Amino acid sequence: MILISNNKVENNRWVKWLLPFYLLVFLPLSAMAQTLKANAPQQVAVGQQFRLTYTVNSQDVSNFHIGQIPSDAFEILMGPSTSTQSSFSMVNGRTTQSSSVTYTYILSALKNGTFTIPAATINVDGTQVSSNALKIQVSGTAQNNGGRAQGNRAQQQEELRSAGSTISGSDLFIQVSASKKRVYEQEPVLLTYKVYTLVALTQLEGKMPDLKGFHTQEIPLPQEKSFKIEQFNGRNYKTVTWSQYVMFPQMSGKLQVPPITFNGIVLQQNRNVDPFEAFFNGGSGYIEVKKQIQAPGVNIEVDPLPTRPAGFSGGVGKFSMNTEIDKTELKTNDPLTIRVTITGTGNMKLMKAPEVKFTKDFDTYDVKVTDKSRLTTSGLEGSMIYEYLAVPRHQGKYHVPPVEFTYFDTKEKQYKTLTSEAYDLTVAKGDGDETSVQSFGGSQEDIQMLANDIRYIKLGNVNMQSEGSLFFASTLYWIALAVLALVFILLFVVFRQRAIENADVVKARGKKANKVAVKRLKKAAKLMNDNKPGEFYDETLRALWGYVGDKLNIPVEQLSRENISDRLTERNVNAETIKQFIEAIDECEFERYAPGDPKGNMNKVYQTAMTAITQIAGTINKSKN
Amino acid sequence: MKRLIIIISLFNFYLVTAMAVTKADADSSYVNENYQQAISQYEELIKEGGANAELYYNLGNAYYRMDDITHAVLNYERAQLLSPGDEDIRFNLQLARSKTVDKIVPQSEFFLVTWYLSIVNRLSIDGWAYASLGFLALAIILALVYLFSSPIWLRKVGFFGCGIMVLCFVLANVFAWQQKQMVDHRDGAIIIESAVTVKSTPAQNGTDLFILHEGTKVSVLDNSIGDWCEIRVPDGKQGWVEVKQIEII
Repeated sequence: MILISNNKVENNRWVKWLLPFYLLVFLPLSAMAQTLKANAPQQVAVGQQFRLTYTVNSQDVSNFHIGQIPSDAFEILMGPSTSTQSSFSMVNGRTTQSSSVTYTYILSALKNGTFTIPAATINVDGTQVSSNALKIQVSGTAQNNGGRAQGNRAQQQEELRSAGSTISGSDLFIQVSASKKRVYEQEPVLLTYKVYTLVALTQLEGKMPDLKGFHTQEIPLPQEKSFKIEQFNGRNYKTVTWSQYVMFPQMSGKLQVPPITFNGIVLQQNRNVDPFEAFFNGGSGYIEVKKQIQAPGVNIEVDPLPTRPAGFSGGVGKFSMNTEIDKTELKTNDPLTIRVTITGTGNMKLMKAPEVKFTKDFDTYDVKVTDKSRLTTSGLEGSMIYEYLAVPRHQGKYHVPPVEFTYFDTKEKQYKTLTSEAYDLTVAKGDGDETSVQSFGGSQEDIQMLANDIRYIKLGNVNMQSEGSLFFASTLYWIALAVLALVFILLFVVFRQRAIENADVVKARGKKANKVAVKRLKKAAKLMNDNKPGEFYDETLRALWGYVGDKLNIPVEQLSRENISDRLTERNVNAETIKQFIEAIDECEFERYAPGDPKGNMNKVYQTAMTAITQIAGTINKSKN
Repeated sequence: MKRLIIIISLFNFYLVTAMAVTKADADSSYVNENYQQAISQYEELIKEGGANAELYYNLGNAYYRMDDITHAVLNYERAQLLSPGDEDIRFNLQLARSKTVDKIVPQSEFFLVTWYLSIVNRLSIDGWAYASLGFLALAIILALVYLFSSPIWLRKVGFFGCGIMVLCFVLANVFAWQQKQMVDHRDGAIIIESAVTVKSTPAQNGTDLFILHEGTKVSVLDNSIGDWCEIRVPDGKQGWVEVKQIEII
């Protein structure tokens, strides 16, 4: 809201009359540090009336002297008029009071140029206080500058038009200017809304609507607006920068800031004042007229950012980075802080925090972000501080890779990556509380799965076979089975044949046994006739042993009386026959070495051997058949 | 026998040398993270008749890297069908399955069936085939030992050993046959459309029973009706879907 004072002079007679009462009330209160403040517009037009005020924040004043006002530049139309103001407040038992005295002059500018109004002096509580000096620039000419007095009136007329007169678009309008018409995404644009007026504008209201394509931030301007004189189209307008917005485009393309409608209130003079109405309604001869003012829209061309590189933080502007670590040698469970400060201008609020890659073994916490940026006409300026807290849990040497921050430089129109230094940390063993923090059940801990991923592909050559060609149930398989079966049959046949042949040899020997025995006995008989007892017994023994060996398929060397009787018993030869056979051998061996009648004995032994062989042959042959 | 083996190995060698270059190419595409190319190369290899558990497995991996979970599951399933005992395939299939949308709790199976299947799936079809040949050879040796050895204990070992080996031979053949049946009569299928409404009847106007999402494995019960087939979800739900919405494993 704007308050524009009328060029009216207070009637200070009443004030003067009331002054003693004020003094009476506020005298006991101590005075504060006293200053005398001069105030006047910085810029005026020739012929324009303006106010020069001196304010002192005390009421115990005397001896006010104004400085020497350059008489060729300014004419004092009126003054000084004095006004006093006091306020007294009591909050929670504490009393504060302030009071001030204001001396007001009405001046009129006479010629162009820059002039200085020297300091004024005043005596406050007995001390001399001087004010600041003022510099006033006089430029342009107030309109209808017919004569000084007339000019004043004319200007007043100009501003305070009569009720009912229309206010045209050239009397009161708003201009919009954008600092840039073509920007990159996220690059800030400054929008300035400037009010130009020829009428007495007292209030103005208008808000920037929420825009889809923009992130909008308003620059705070002083609540108190002061007009400046500016020439536009040959007329001197009172202008004021009404509002400024910094816009961060969030998408590319042609973005539009729509026209905004401001609601203004303009003061107009009411010439046909009914005195009674004026009296009862407090009518002052002025009425307020509402006026809608349309500020034009603005088109802004937004270029998309080039292909974003990996790790792009979203920052657009111009930045620098600084990293700090609080310590590089620490103990387990000691917290560690890395502070990354990004300073510069750009869309600081919309950036992602850069990533600090601590070893996974560290416990890490959320980034603490401190925003030390402020809004200026060129965007957000200042720094963002990111603090990364990590706690090492195990001793050892660790490496923290450099922090990288990638942003888009709007000046050089390319991406830039800022890289910090890398840190090497040495973590020593803490004060034995490692285990107490980690676990209660021993020093082993579970393996932490960091991520799940598929296993690697199978490399190397494979048997490339079509899906249908399985080995199972294939011809090859059947052939393999058949081959195995054939092998079995073959081996079976071979083994069997050998077994059969083996059996035949035994049989043949058994058959031959009788013949051999008979042959040997015949030879023995011949030896007996030749009366050669030694050779006879040898031949008879050979016949006996040889016979049983052949019959039983046992080599002669392995024969003994025991195994002969065993094997013969197996072959169902009766005990009598076996006994006879053994006796024949015994007798033969006995007679071989015994002295006596070898001839008679020879005959007897011959008979016994003959009988034993015949009997065994009979029994075995019988059992076989 | 020996000559036969030599002939077989020569035959295999010939096949390997004929195609090895492309498999290596596909592998190197995968290694260089050129997954799209790896996919097309593996698919070409398979199309050329090299259907092989390892190729399907690698193809599944490439799809997984491209975030195409549905096709990854499909190819892992195919790989597992051909090589049911492979640990890597099982692991990756499980991981890929866990990333599909539908969470399905399969119906509980009688524990003996589970055991039986786990034994059947211990070896591949050809694995069982070779095992059966081995068992048969052992059985023959033991039979000969029984028939032609004279010590009694050796004959006993030969007799019982031969019996057991014959039993193993028969079982190995049964297992191989059973797996071959599974491969030949594939009733598994994967939902390939992102969301499929399962109908109560084989028609568009049938009642909507439930919705399945891509990557879910179903078994096909009846595909005799042209465009529609009846499916069963592992948790027992049944319904009809359009043939184009699924792909047989």
